[in-house]
Order: sequence, then C-alpha cells, then structure tokens
Amino acid sequence: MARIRVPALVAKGEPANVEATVDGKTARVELLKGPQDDLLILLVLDFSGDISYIEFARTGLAEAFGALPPHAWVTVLRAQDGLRVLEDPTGAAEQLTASVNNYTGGGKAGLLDTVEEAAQLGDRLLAKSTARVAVLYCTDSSIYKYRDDYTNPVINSSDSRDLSRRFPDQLVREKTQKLVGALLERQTPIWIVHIHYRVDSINEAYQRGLQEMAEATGGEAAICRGLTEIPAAIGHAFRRIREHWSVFVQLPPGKSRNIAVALNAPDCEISFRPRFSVKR
Amino acid sequence: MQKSFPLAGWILLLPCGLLAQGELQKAAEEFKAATRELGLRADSPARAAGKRQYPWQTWHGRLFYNLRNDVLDAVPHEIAQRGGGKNRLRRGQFGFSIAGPVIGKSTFASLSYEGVRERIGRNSLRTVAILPERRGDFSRTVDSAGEPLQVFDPASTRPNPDFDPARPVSTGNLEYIRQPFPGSVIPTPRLDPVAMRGVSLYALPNADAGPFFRNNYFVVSPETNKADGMIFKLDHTLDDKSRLSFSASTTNGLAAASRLMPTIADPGANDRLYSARRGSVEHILTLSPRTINTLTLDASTDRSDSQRPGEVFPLYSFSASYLGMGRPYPVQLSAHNTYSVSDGYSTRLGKHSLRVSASFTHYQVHAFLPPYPRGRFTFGPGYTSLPGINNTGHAFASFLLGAAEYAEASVFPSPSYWRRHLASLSVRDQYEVTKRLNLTLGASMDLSTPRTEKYNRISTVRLDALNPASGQPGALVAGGAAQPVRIRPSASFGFAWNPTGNPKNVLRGSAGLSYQAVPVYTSQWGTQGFNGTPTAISRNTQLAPAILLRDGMPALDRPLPDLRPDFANNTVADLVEPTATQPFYQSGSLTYERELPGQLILAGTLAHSRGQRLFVSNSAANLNAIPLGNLRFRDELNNELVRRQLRPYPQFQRFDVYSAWPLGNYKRDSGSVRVEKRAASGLGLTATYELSRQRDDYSGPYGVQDFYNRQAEWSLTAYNIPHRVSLSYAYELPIGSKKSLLAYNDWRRYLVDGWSISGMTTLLSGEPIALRPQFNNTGGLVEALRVNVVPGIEAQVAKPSPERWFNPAAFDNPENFTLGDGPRTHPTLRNPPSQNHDLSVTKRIAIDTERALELQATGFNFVNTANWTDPDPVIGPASTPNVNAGRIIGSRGGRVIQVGLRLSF
Repeated sequence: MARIRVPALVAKGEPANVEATVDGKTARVELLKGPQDDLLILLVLDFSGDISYIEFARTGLAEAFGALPPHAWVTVLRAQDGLRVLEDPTGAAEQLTASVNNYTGGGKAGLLDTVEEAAQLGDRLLAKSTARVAVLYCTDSSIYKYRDDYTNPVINSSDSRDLSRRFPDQLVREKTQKLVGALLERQTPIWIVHIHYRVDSINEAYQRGLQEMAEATGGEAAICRGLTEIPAAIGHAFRRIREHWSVFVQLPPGKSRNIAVALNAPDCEISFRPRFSVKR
Repeated sequence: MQKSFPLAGWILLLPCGLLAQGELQKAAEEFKAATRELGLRADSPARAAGKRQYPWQTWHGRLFYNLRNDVLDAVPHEIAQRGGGKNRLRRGQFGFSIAGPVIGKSTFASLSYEGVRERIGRNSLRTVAILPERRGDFSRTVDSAGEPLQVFDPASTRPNPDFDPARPVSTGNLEYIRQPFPGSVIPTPRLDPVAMRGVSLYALPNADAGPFFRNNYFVVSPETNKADGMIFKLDHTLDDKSRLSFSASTTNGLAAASRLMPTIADPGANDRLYSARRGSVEHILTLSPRTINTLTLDASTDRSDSQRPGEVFPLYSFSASYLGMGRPYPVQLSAHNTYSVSDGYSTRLGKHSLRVSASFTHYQVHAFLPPYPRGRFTFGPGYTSLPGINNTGHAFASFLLGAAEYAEASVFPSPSYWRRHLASLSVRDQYEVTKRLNLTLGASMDLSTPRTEKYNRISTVRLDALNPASGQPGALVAGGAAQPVRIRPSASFGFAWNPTGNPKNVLRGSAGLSYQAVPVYTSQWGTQGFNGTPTAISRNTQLAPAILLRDGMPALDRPLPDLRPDFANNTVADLVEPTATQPFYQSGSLTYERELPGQLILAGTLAHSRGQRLFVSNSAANLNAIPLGNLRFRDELNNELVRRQLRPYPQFQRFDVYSAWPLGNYKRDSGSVRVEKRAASGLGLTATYELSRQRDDYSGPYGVQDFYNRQAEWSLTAYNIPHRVSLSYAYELPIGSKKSLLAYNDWRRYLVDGWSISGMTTLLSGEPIALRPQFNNTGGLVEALRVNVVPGIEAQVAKPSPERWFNPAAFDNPENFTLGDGPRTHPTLRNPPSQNHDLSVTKRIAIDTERALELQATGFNFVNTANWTDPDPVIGPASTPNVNAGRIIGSRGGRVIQVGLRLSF
C-alpha cells in the first residue's frame, strides 16, 4: 500500500487525532511526527554575491545551529556546479558553523539547478527513516547569476520593434513552473531563505517562483529586503522547520496520479501541503 | 518524553530518545550512502562522480517562434480616423538556445540565436503644398484663421518715402512698399528652375484631414527590418576557488526605413546597416570565505552604416509646417569601440564589508557624418511678405522663387577618430553598527581625459583668442585637446534601520553626490578647419535672399585644412566648453517599508534630486545671443549688419555647443507608494503610484526665450508627469490537475493545465503644455518666443474635451518686438492623460518532465484604448487667431497582438 508524508504546520492546538482525506475520500493516517521528533535538515548554501549579505547569513546560521535541539541534525551542502556535501549530518553546532564559515561561494547561482535533486535526496531519506526531513536553501542568488540564461537578453539591438521582451519574466516563470511540477512529485518540504531581495522585474518573478516552489512542497520562503532581516529570517525558518509535522497518510486505491490531500484535526489550526503527484 | 503518536501499524515500543537516535542515525547513514552513490561527495567513487551522461540527458534549451500579422491587430485609431484600413505587417521572430555541460560539471556552455524578418507598412500624415501652390498660384492659400494669405512680389520692393522711423512699422507706416503678386500668382518665368525641379520630386496632396489644406498628405510605405544575432557563453570552474567565464555576442541588422516620398527628395530616414560585437572575460577568485576578487575584461564594437544608394538630394526646409525635401546626414558611418578592464576586491573586516574597485575604460568613436553634403536651404515667408507685417508671405512662395534665407553646406573630406579614457577608483563600506542599524558609505574618484582625435584633427573657438579679421575676441584654435583632464569625487551614504527591532519594519535612507563624465559624442563637432561649412546669410530675410537656388552654394575659397583663426567667421562655429565642467547631481531619499499580513509589502518613499550645470543643447545655450534689451531697435533688427553689431562675438552667427554646454539646472521632488503582493496561490502583483514635480530651466520643444536670464526660464519640466500609476501582475491560474480547481486527471487536464496570465497597466497624467505664439516678429533676436497671458481669463475649461481642451483666449501672441510674459511650460495646463494595458496569456503543455510546449498570446494595448493626441499649442493674435488652438484633432494607438510558440527541452 502506497503512502505519502504530508508536511503540516500547526498554528494552534495539537493534531493528535488528525484525520486525512485523499481526493475527498477518507484515508488512513498511519503515523504522526511532530516537533519533538527526529529531524534532519538538508541545508543547501547557494551564495554567489555580496559578502556583506553572506556574512549576515553566516551569523544567522550560527545562531540557528546553536539553538538546535538534540533530536535535530543538520547536513550542509553547496549548490554550485551541482550539489556537493560540505558536512555530514550532525547536531554539533561548532562543526556546522565551521563548515558554513569555510564555505566559499562560487560566483554562479545554483538553486534552480539543484532543488529537484535536493528534494529527491530528501525523499530517499524519508523512505528509509521515520525522521522528519526538510530541505533549507539559504541563497543570495540573482537570476542573472545562473549559468543558464533565464533573462532573455536582447540579442539584436537593432530590432527596435521587439515586443517579445515586454514581459521579460517568461523564461523564469517557465522554469519555476516546471520545477513546481517536478517538486510536486517529491514529499520533502522545502524552505528557502533568500537573503538579497532585488526589485527588477525578472528577479521579482524569480523570487515569486521561489516562493511558489516552497509553498508547493509544504515549506515556506522568506525574501529578506535588508541586511538586518537576514539573521531573523534564518532563525524563523529553522524554527518553522523544527515545528513542522510529518503526517504519514496511506493512499487509498485508485488511479489518480495527481492527488488532493486534506487534513483535519479537532481543535487544531493546521495548514498543510494539499497536492501531490504520485507514481502508482 | 517526546510526543510520538502510535497509530495503526506503527507501534513504537522503544524509548523515544533511543528511537530518535536510531532514526536520525538511519537517516544520516542513508544520506551518506545516497550522496556517495550520486557522486555528491568528495569520497564518492570516481565512477559515480564522473558518471557519464549523454548530451541529450544534460543539455537543454528552447526553440521559439513569435508571429505578428496585421490580421490579428486592430486598425490604429489615427488610421481609422482617416478612413484607412490596416497596414501590412508581417513579422517573424525565431531562434533557439541550447545550454549544458561540456566537460563534466566544471565547464558549461550556452548558445542563443535569434533572427527577425519584418515587413511593415508605416503611415504618416503630413502637410504638403497644394496643387495650385506648386504652380505658383497662392490664390487659394489661407492663413491659420482661414483668411486669404497675401504673397508679395519682392521685385516690387521700394522704400516708403512716407515712413516715420519714430513709429513702429505697421500697415499704416510701412518702411518698404511691396506689391502683391497679381491674383496671388507668381508668374511662371519668375519660378526658379532648381526649385521647380524640386517641385517635380515633391509629394502631391492626397488627403484632406484639414483644416485649411493642412494634414493633406497621408502616406503608407513599407519598412523592412532584418536582424540576426547570437550570444555564446562559456563558464569554467578552475577549482574550488576560481571560476572563469567568457561571453561573446554578435548581431547584424538592416533597418530599411519607410519612404515619405517615392523620389530622391524623400525626407525620410536613411536605411541603416547595423552590426555589433561584444566579448568579455570574468575571473572570480575566492581568496578566502570572506575575500573575493573579480577581474573583468570587456571589449565591444558597434557599427552603423546609414545611407541610401543613389544621388544625395539637398535639404530644403520650410518654416511653414510643410514637409521638407531631402534629409540631413544622408551618409552616416560610425563605429563605437569600448575596451575596459575592472577589478573588484571584496573583504570582511570585523563589522565592515569593504569593496574596493578600480576600472579603466578606453573609448573610441569613429564618425563620418557630414550633415549637408549637398547643402541645406531654409525658406521663410519674409522674402514674399510685406516687410514688417505679420501673416503675409509664404515660405513655399519664397522657395518657388529660389530665395533661401539661410544656406549651409558641409565639406567633410575625412572621418574623425575620437578617443577618450575614463579611470575610476571606488571604495564602499557596509558597516553593521548594531543589529538594527546598518550604514553604507561609498566614495569614488573618477579621472576623465578630454576628447582627442587620433590625427589631432580637432578644433574649437576659443573665446579669449583674438580674431585677426575682426580684431575681437573669439577665434578658431586647431589641434590639441580642447579640454583639460578632470578628476572628480563622488560620495554616497545609506542606512537601513529597524526602529522597533521588528525586521518587518524598515526605514531606509540614501543620499549621493556625483558628477557626470563628458561623453564622447558621435559627431564631427569640433573639427572646423579640417572640415568646412560654407554658409550664406541673408542681409535681411525680408529684402534679400541669402542665396538663390539657381546660383548654387558658394564653394570654399581655400582648400582644407584651413586652420586660420578666422576660418569659422560668419558661420555657426563649433564651441567646446573649455573647462570640462561636469554636471553635478545630488539626491536623497527616505523609504519606510512595512510587511503586512497576507504577504503584502507596503513602501512609501520621499525623494529629492537636483542637478546643476547639466549639459544642454543649442536651444538652451547661446553664448552669442543678442541681449533682449536690444528689442528696442525693432525693425532695424531685420538687418543682419545691425544684428552683427549687437552680438557679443559679431564675427560668428552663433555657436554650436552640440549637447554639451554645462548650464542646465533641475529639481525633482517626488513621493511614491508601492504595494507588493508576494506570490500566494500563484498570484503576485506590484502596484506603484508616484506623485512628482520636476522643474528646470532648459527643457521643452522650443528652447528658452532669454539666454541671459536662467531664472526667468524656471518652470515645469516639459516631460514632467505628476501622476503615474503602474500595475504589474502575474497569476498562475488555480486550475488543472495539480491545482485546486478543475483538477481533472483525464484527457481534460490537457485543456486546463498550465494556464497563466501576466499584465502591465500604466496610467499617466499629461505633460505640461508648452504654448508658443504663431508669429515671432523679433528680428531673429528671440528664437523661442513665449505667449502672453491675458489677465482675467481662465485658461482652464470646466470640462476639457477634444473640441476645447483649454481656453486659447487666455493667451495672446506678443506684439512685434516684445517678449511673451507666459511661462515656458504652463504650470497647470496639461496634455491629455494616457493609458496602456498589456496582457499576456500563456498555456504550458508539459510533454514530459523535461519537455514542454508553451503557447503565448500577448496583447499590447489589448483593450484597444485610444489616447488623445496633444492639443494644438499655437496661439495666434486676436486679429488672426489659430482656429485650431486648444483643439485635439484625433487619437492614437491600437491593439497589437503577438502570438508565440516555444518548445523547451
């Protein structure tokens, strides 16, 4: 019998008696893992820009590592030129901080190229363990910093009547929508903390895309508009990841590939990831 | 005790602590195994790390085609009002891009190509001479009030023995007596043969948009555009600490301009061949986690070859609103080369993030741009007028007589090769004062060298050099740089402060001081002596022509180069500002930003900026202007000899300062509110409203009235738009198999999946109206005469409409030889507001996880809104009012649709 793990966040109450439906039909909740349960955070660093922003992120991450409970471990990866492991899972704050401090950005952004692989990795861990698993991207990426070109730059400067770039965010949106579709096939929630907000229209579309990706997986995204926000945003993301619940739901028989999930717990305000694409 | 809930099938018997360690350990072990297997670790087996992947697995890209066709478009309003149909439009824009790793994961390449093929019908509504006028018959010609216009015979001119010089010239006190042509018809033998050849090449009227034979030529002619370009990029990771990126681009284009006339007298733009090449190399070296060095080398070249094969026609321009003949710069060849190297070093020291950067740029501009190789001839009504009397004579009649009031030719034997360097050193410090307060401090020093010419073919008028011909200051000086090297500092300051400690509320401020470097202009300005501009000036435009067309342009009397100090005498002389004074800008802003529930961000900004000594053009700077107190000489000012005595530098007609005289000033104050809705459920939008006021002493379509009183020119900036609203949005529709609505999983998902819309809306209030009088009888002293304000009459109308946008009776044409007392731009009258709405609808069809097809339809002005054209700003005297003043004759705009198809793989 196939099962999925539905990430959920509880604003009020305790979801002890949570009930689930899949495509409107009652589904069996097999297990529930909450804030006091094991947690492995796959922290992916994706820094390619201004060191002053990166330094604030390092500060925020060091503070967040220091606040980790014993049942939460973190592993550190980098996103440039594909995912690479910088630090194996550990709860040792000093070790993690050292790893982050030694990380050197790469001049190129990597989130869009690696987020699917990171979620895939998370799913492998979810499949082998009942521990909660979440991916957290900490990035300062600009859409202009990718090796792939999503910015649709002007190629023919003599073409004065080019209207195809009136909506310059089309390629970014296409990419992020494609990733949203791919991430719906994964069960690992993704959190993103973008430490450098940019106001140009293509970067705005990119930042919106990051938000959509995170929301689609049951995670959250924060876009920091200033340096002083960065440590708080990172701390907030860690706290939310720690607080997230993982609801093990057994899928009823059916052919549906794209399923709608609903969770309901008496006396409890619960938000959850509502859609999954599953392979039957 | 941890809270785990034992549910069916998952009975947890072990103490939670042990279980936790067990499950975490299990996950950690699996992590190690998986990352090793996937080649994500340093200790991954080589087989996994270097796992071979075929190009079709790792390379991806897209193919696209965008189509525009007039079948999809609305008839533009300006054409529909003429009763016309759609113009032909065929446009195809196509291309591809492909990207992927070349060697392992360390080298990545991308290639993009785009081509354009376009054929478009371009329409234009102009005024040309009516058929009788082409034969010399002005009996049907009327003035702007619709009254018959008299054309006088210059051959009949004789002094009026009864003229009283103590009284102003008027119909009752004429200085010269001149007879009208009998029946207002110029006898055929009097018509200039060169002018008549021009007439035979001149467009015939074919429309009647009116009034009074105005807007009588409507032409639609094809314009062809073609372009092909490519961008290639290569990115290579040398090791963990360094990365090398290379990019190169190339484009070639042809813009074949539409013709306004199907003859060599066509005044339309040249065809243009365009090419550009660019290359850059960037090396990023991470010296430590807190120290990064970035070295960049750039080189670019842009070439433009603009000309039409065949004979070059002289430029004939008429002071009436008639379409001219010929075009300036019939041959234009230019190339811009830029080479630059820059290095940026960023490091962290304590609470300071420092960035030190240095750059050096070498500019080259090669230009061959003779403005009037076959001559420029301007025709005014003066020669066929009753001397001294407004609303008499006609520019086209003067043309038929071959009587140009000004003529100039360009003798440019060689191109110019301009050079300039710019070096810059800057430092920026971001200082974390406290966790709630950050400061950013920046300073830079820019060194700019003057514009020089490779072969030293450079000259300027020096105002302190003695002119041997006149014995007065102001003489041409050739060779050497005309300006000194300048070193200028600039500074910036910024802060971000969380006053309450809540990161969702931020107060930001910034301030800056900077100088603008003197650009390298794309022209051959500043080469007199090496190039020549023989000029003919009328001694009195009402009495004698500068030149008769049949006599041709006088040739230069001495061969070039002619570097004598008096070479530029009696011409419009090139004057380079000698001190290299640079425009100075100051700005400051304060923004309060607050994040509200519901992913809403609200920001309010107050900003102030000002600029001093901005570069202005000849319409705003004239160092040889006759002081306006000399208007007291009244009709005597029509005499060039009199005017010459009054000019500060009598040996020159005026100075050409190009667009480079540092004299302008502006101030801008604005307040804006921005609301941003972050993506939630697929919707993101940004709305901005700005209220602004900008004033200056130089902008506008006509120039300034008094060159010696900048304060009197201080008024609203001609392009100031006080209210500006913009809205942009993107919405992934919540329908489809992976969405909350219409979540079909059967065949219907192909219909409902992947829909999104995005749009942009702009609402703009109108720019200030710049009024001008119909007649400017100031003997040439005032180039941009203003209107008079009539006291006690309200300029605003209660309900502005196209028939009456403002009240023209509130203004008047100034009396002869007096200044207008109205402002350069009106403080309250505004041109009509405008709006534009663009919408794009996209349907994405996923073929598989990697491939997708995107169909896109974009509507520009998709609601087909018509925006009113500007009202006629020309104010006539009460005796012969401009009946069109304050009226709007039509609207413009129309929906344009583009459809596109993109396959991404």
